[in-house]
Amino acid sequence: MKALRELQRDFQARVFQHDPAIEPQIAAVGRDAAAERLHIYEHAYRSRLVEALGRSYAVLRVALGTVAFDELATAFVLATPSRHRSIRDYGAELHAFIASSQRDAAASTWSELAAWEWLLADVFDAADAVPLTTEALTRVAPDQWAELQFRVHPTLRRWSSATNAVELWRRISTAQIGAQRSPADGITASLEREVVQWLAWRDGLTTRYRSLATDEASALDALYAQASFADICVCLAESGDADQAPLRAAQYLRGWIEAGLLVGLQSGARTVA
Amino acid sequence: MVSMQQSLGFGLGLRPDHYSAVLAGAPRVDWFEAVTENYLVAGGRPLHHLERIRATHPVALHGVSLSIGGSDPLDRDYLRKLRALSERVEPIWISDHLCWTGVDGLNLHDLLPLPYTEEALVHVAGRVRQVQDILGRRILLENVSSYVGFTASQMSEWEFLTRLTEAADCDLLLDVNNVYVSAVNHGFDPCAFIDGVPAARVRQLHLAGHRDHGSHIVDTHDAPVADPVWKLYEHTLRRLGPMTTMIERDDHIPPLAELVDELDHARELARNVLAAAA
Repeated sequence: MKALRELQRDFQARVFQHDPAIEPQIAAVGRDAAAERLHIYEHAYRSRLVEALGRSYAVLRVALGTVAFDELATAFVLATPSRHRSIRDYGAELHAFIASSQRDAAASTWSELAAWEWLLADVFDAADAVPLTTEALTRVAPDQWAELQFRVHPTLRRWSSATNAVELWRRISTAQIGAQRSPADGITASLEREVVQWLAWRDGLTTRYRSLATDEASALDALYAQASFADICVCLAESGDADQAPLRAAQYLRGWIEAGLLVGLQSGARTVA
Repeated sequence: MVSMQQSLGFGLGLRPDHYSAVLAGAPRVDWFEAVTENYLVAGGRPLHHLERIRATHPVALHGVSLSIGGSDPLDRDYLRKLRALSERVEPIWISDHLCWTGVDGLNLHDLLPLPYTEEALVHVAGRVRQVQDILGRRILLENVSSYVGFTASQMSEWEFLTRLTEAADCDLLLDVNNVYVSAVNHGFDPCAFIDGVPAARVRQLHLAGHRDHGSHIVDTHDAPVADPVWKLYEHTLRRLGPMTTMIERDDHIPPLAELVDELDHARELARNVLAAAA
């Protein structure tokens, strides 16, 4: 195994760093020099990962234009060797790479657009689960409400943005589907006046998303962190009219269940639904 | 020697572009080969479609990241997930490639050639046995296209494959296009390869397109099957008899009907070859 391992390390070093150590170990290959044949593997590695990033970030690719996107993707591939078994999982860090490497004023929008596309891909094939129906609420006894805790749907993701990335994503996606015009027309990155809270999830096989009011986002984050219904009421009381907090909590809870965001209810040690 | 395996007919690689056409009926496709890694996900549309298609067609799981020839430890998490997927999908068989994909925890996302040495043979055979123990079934290993060979090699690729099937009790997925590509790239007779593998171990054939660069050929899966590969397919059938066959297309994917027409060509060749041999 020692010789095999050393050969594989030399070969891999060729692909990553153009290291010459593997060349004397290559058998004669007809008219081509060993370096020419090894170049096929070096080129394939980069082009395969750039193509994979183009699939994962199809909207960002349209927003930037293919030339600029491929330059960005190539730089990312050179800086980020893959440690993933599936090529589909490669590239999660692209948004951070953009934020740290691009000096362009629009970089924060492109970084957020990358993060948003990755988040939606994550929602796309996250675990299936049967959502609760509002009928489940009828099973909650009056003395169970205060301690009531919730299990969220495994596809649910929370996110916040400071730019118009989601709006750009929506416009480009719609244009791609409709193919009515060049989708990059009028694409302009900009900052929002305030941070926007987002929620994404899957309804059956359909990915959905919507923006959230600040207090709903806080309540949902509390719910996500295993807060009880009483805790969520406290959270809402702190961000608005305290007297109305239980009513708002109940309204939000009903809305989340109707949207299919919750999959389980528990009070203390008891599973309610 | 003619294989005694029952042919499952003529299949295609299952690609997301074709989900709706396949679910609408997919005439004249006997079975599908699904890329394992595309379905090692928690849920959603890929698994939903795979299960629907599995309800009407036999499905084989074909992996690209087992790295059976790798020198890092086998990835137990990957194998656990593969076993779970296999229990869910109940594939006709599970296949991957005789290759390695990276070392020291990195992945080149390529099917890289092995040196055909006694050391590598012992190493790979031991790993195949471990994988088969974990999955509870034999696996099929596919010969890859290669652009380089190694001075360290002590035997031909087909001798390595033959001895591997004996040492590990595994089966073979014979990729006819890959045999042709490697034969041109390394200057050996492709018929010697076909004639050299153990017929009784071959369970399935692959066909695919490639790009000819003059001094070498690159395995691209982005074009129709080339004429010399069809000729080698005929030679393969003359040796092996009726054999489960599929066409792979991974890039420039045409409408399903176009691939079905190409599959019909494979059917016609097989019918003629087998009629002449009868």
